[in-house]
Amino acid sequence: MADALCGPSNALQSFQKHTSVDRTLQQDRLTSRASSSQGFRSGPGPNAGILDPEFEAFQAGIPSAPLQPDFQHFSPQYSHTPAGPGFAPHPATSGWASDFQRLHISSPPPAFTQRPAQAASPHQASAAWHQDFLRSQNGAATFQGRQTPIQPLYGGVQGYGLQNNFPMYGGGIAEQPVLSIAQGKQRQHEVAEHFDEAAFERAFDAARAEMLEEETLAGQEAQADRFNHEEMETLRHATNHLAAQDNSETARQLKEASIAQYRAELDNLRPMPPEHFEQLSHEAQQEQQHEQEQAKSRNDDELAATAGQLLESVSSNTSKKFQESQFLQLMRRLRDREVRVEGDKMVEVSPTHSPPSHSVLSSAPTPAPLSTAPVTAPPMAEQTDSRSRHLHMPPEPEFISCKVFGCNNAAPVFKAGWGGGHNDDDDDDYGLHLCG
Amino acid sequence: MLEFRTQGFNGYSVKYSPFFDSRIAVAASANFGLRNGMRSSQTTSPRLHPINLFFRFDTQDSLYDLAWSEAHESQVLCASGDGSIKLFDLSLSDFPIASWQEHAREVFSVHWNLLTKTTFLSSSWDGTIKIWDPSSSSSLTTLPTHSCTYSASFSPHNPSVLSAVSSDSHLRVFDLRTPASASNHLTLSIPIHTPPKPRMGVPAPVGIPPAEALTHDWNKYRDSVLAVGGVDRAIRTFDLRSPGAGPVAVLPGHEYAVRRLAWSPHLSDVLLSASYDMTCRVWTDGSAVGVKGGGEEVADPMAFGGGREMGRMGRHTEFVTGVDWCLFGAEGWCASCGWDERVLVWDVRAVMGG
Repeated sequence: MADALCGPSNALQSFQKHTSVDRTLQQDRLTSRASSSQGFRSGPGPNAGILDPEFEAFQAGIPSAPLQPDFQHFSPQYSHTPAGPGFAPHPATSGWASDFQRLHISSPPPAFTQRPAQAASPHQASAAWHQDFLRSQNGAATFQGRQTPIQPLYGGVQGYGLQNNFPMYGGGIAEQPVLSIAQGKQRQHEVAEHFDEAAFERAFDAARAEMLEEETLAGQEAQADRFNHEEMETLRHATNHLAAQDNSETARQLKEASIAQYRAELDNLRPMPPEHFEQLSHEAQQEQQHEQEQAKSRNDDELAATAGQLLESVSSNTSKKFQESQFLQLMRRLRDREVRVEGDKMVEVSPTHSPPSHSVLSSAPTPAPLSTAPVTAPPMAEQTDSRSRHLHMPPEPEFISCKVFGCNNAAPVFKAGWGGGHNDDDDDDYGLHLCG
Repeated sequence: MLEFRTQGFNGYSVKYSPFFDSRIAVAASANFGLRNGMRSSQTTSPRLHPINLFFRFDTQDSLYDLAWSEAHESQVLCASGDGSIKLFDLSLSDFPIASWQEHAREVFSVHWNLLTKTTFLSSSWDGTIKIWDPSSSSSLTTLPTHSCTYSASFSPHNPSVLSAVSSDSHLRVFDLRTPASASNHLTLSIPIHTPPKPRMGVPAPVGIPPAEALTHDWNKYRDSVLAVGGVDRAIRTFDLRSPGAGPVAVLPGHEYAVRRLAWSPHLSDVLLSASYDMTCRVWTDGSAVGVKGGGEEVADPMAFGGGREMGRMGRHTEFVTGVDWCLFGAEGWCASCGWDERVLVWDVRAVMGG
């Protein structure tokens, strides 16, 4: 092997490499697997003789009292089998439903390990779908009676063929397709034809109503999400084009457009009482706007924090050059929230028109240094027609921190160790590599 | 000193053409390379005259590095912030003649193979180095570094040897002749922060924390020597013949991180650096015979190996991000670019103290 890797090689050598490989381990595994699958097919297990008649009895609906002790005395490895209680005679709750419940078809798997308790009080832990099902079937007596054969089938098979070789299959209804194919298909069909159509319809209606309700809710959420996303996009474009325009005007237009869109989509989705729809639409609208504002202010916060950290790291430098640096000046203004990111552009924040979330923070620094910044033109704060103007300056905090200062993962949080102290735990890289 | 303004664009990299002494290419980005609206402009200029814009390409995303094609005198390779690598031809306007998009993150360096001239490499923040053939649409080889690789370059002495420095403070050397085994051609990995060997009469150096390495360059005369610079402000030279011995020379002096390094094409011991402290500095690494001296004055405890700063150029008013030597004419001419939207062409000898 090793000499085939290095050194000159010829055809025979490489052929030898293929043939001389030690495959015994592989073959061992293959043979052992084959034998185990044989065991699966032919091995009836120690209880085969008992189970067969017992299963037959159960299918016939006869409570097989004499057999009960055998199940109770099963060795621990069979303690998971759901069959036990299924065969236990419970005169008070005879009838397939109680049997069915005791089969624990849909009980959670852990319940199988608590066999005795389950057998003692079969009604406790079975707060699952089949109970709801049963409840919805109240009054459908004929159905109850006639359906008897099919339900025990599951439990019976579980206790019958599978328990010895595949203890992990004790989990319940999951193997239903398998067993119905294996044994019960024919009978299941027969029984299924006797289903009470009316009862089934009723149950189905109830379930459908419930699902529809959920669907509506989910649909509304999805709508809100998509809506949110679309408006963000549009807003981005809009701010590009309508930069000088009043923000509230833009927002109002956008809102109107998106309401119309939302309405159309909702109508498509399903008919709904108009007043209900209005309310929903309104709520979604408000919710979405609120979220957007929050996200924006969060972005601004991160940006400001990033800029602040950057400035801190160069604060010891009092040289004229660093004092006059345009880039650092921009960072200063970002930190003091004199400029704000809007879309792809930098927008001056004027305290009078800043949104409520900014008003506290942006009112603290005075807008005086605007004119000193080389990137800015004369202050625009007093103008009413163009409340925000572009400085053609950078955008979102993650790009401050990632592209310039360049952290690897797009985490917008600007790591404190970006200067001299290096973070070893993750491979953040900072495009701006000052050493403080 | 000549000056050209890349109006509205903050320079990231500058390179002299290997074919014409009058052409300089600049990769620059708007908004300090932050995000959208970024363009790149490449200017080429006649030397020793007022610099004229000869050609210019605009791209959608910011450009972080560029490299002249070694095979074709009018082609320039650009490393883009959107993970793509674009090849521009000066005879065709507006659009790149080829574009390769495989990197998942910003491409931070490109370098043409100086010897075979048929391949180039790129390194990216996605932790890989890729080797490309300009005639092939996909990369030939991908070499993982598992950390943001700021700089990678082929050896000027061997067509199949390449090196890279990355944010994990390691200098890696790959040899493409080795079998592509589990090590992915990696032959050497040198921790840059290793302190130099203790000297007689000097207390042993304390451990230096690892810092991101941002740039490196192969010495043009000594084929096993590399210089590395990064966030910890010192420039170090390493000899690949003794990778475990630590740095051969340590050159402290920059006040902030070192952004770009270039060995002189004329002198084996002279080094030019650009830094976030807004200066360019000229260094000797102390290897040249007779250059020693001056080591006694204000000895920095970090300094090692006898190298020293020979001069500095402080005309840039923002971070300096790119330097390159002119290959032609009198030795000492170089170009630098920075975030002050300026490209300066200057003579190193003018700033050397003498």
